[in-house]
Amino acid sequence: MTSGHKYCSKMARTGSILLVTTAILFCMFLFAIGYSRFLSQQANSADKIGKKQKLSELATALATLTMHKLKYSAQLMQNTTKLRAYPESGSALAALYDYLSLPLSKFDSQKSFVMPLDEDATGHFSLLLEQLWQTAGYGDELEESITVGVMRDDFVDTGATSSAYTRNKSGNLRITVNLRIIHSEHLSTTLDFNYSCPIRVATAHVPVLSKYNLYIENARLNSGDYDAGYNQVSVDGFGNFAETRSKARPLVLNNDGNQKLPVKTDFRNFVEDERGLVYLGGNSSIFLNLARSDAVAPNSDSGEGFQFFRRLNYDGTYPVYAGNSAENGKVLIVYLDQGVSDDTDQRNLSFYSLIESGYFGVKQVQEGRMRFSSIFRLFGVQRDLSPTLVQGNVLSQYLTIALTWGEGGKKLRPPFLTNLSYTAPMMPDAYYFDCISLPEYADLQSAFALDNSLDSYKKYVNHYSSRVNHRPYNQGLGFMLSQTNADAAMLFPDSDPLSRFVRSSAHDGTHKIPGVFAEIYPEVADLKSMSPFATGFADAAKASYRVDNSAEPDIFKLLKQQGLLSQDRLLLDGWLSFSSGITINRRLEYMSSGGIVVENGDLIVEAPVVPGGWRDNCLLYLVALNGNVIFKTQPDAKVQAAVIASSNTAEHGRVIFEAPPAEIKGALAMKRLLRNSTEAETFQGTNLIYFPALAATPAGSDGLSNDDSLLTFSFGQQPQEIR
Amino acid sequence: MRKNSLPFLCKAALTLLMPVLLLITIQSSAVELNVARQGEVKNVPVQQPYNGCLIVREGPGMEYPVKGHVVNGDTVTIEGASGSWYRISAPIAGYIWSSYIAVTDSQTVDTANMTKPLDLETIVNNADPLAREQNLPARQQLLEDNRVIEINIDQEIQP
Repeated sequence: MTSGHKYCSKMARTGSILLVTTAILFCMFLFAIGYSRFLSQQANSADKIGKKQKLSELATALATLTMHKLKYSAQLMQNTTKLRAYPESGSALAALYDYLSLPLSKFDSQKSFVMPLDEDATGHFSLLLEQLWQTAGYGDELEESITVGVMRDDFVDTGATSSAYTRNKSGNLRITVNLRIIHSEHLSTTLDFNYSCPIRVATAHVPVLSKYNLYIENARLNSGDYDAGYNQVSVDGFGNFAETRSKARPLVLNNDGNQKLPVKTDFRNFVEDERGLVYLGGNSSIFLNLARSDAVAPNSDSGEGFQFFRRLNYDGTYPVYAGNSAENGKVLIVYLDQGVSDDTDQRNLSFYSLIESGYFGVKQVQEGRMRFSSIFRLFGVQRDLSPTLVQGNVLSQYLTIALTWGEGGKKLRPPFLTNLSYTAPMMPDAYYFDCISLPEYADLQSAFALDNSLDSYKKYVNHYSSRVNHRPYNQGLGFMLSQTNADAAMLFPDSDPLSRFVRSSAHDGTHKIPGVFAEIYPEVADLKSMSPFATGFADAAKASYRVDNSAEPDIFKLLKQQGLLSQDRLLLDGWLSFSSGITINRRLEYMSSGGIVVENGDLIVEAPVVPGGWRDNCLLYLVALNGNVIFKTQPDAKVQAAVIASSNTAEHGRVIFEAPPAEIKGALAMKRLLRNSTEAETFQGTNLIYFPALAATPAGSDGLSNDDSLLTFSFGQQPQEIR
Repeated sequence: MRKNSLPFLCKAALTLLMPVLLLITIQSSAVELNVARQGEVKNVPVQQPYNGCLIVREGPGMEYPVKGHVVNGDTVTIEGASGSWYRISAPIAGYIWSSYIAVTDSQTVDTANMTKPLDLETIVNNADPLAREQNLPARQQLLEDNRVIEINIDQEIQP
């Protein structure tokens, strides 16, 4: 090998190394670039995932806020127009509530409502939203919009009588949270997050039963024909409650929530207006004595003189029989009807002495407990009249004073017709045996062909004498319609069903479900049993909450745990059931309508139960399904609640007034009030004022039932994300 | 059409207003009642058991002891009434059966100032049932229809 060759060979080897090194370096460069891009992609992906997670959390927070707005804002705001838990008119929430109030048949297949979170009552959400934005690391480049969607297929009709009361339903709302990320003026990204929210729309109303201010399934106190055990209340001659003489206090009804609705002459209007009816059930007649209210005390607190014919000068006499006396010409037998009082002064006794002058009169007064008025004031009291339709075999009982009257005001003999005793003729110690034959009865003898026979005596006692009388309780409506018309009962046209109620208390219709309410339960014809109506208040599906309280007696604690109590105010807006008996021992203010149902045990009310401020139109149902509702309140307490006491046993299903409140505004429905006349002796009544919205009529041809003002809107607690 | 509807509206308004007006009237006004103060004994039968004498008793009932008697033409001062009896202060203090007393003087009482309820006699003295003589058959029928419990006299008088 030459040195030149050696040199060339060395040069070539150096070049190869350089080439290889360059190639390696180039490869490494390419790898570095690729790895760098890989790392960059990884970082981008992680960033994207983080951002989306953050947005999802943000959306969930917004959905939760939306549900809180739905759930609480109506209850917490003061709607001074509707006076109940309802959003302010014109707000987005009000539009949703209005729509949800409609029957399901009126729903569109799909409808959306934009729901701004920081609107009116929920304006304080603005600050909350701002904080959320800052936490999420977004400023102006993120916008949110929330839509509540209502799809008809997401709902089902609920309630015992969905064809009659058409607004009850349950289902789910769809909440869509839309987030828009603004990249630049012309570029943005939109993300939708979907959630569902359960809702139950249920009325604080029980079909048929709610129409009754007072419903008692079995109001009979004993099994005999003559049930006068309710007559226990003392009133004085003016018609004022005689507190010192009376162990019993009356239950005074106001049947229209103080609206002063007049008496109407047609059944339909009578039944369909905002008036609570009365049903005193039982298989035979109940006799209720009407309390005296004297002409000179027209505003008496317990009197029922308005149920009698009276002229403006307090003359209440009206002729019934006419005859011709041989000696004095025309003879009229005139009646004067009067209520009862146990005053012992001569003024009161003057009414009784004519009746008690004979054996049968004494017996009538004693057996009818005619010194005492009944524990019921079904048409209110003299100072606050409140007409309604009383159903059941209910009769009013009163004193009838009979007089003879001659033509031209001529005095006839005798002027007053006593209730004569009967003793067999010619008995030596009998004073009355031939009274009809006495000269002082001469006019009566000749005018009405009376002699000393037993038949004449019967005719006299049953038709002409002063005695205890009774009549259908509803006949008093006639004199409430026109007190100065002696024949006011005849003002109700024969063709109208109302006249049957005025003329009789024993017709079939008196136990029937009246008018528009009759078709609500197609299979139920009458009011005799409370059980068929239980579907309206015992339906478990109606309750939005169920609380097992068997181990915890403090319901306030339990309500708080459920998130239903805030500052001792009940935020229910729906129905709630407790498994066991409860005691409301602290003032309970409710912010929305609803119902509390006790499944087993007593529901004891020891404190006021009233709506919170500006919620006068709210109503709470208090229901004992298998127990009693017992009132043990302070005497000045007020309760605004509709009360139902039901049971499958004879021992329960009663409303018991151990210490009644001053007033119950709502309605009462029960199996029994009192079990016997001994309990009636110490009955402690109160003022029962009907809650007019309860008179809601069922849907007519337009499909809209009238119970919208009692609707409750019970939303779920947490949104469920739909993926 | 308009001519017919106007009276109807008036009637309807009157029908609605009547009970209200009635109540307002009753509550706002008191009436004057005539209460008997003096009377003359009249028409006491001369045959038995009266023999022309009207017995004055210690109380308003046949069971009260006899205090004396008055005769046709006597003037009695009436203090008050109790059922069918007048309480008199002269000529003898006591009670007499009111059927045989023709009231000759009465006092007008303003019920607004009354502190005691009206008694039967006072109400009846103010009565004018003749103004309501019509509809007797309908009233009788109503009473018959109303009767649910009848006194079973045959059963009651069984020895």
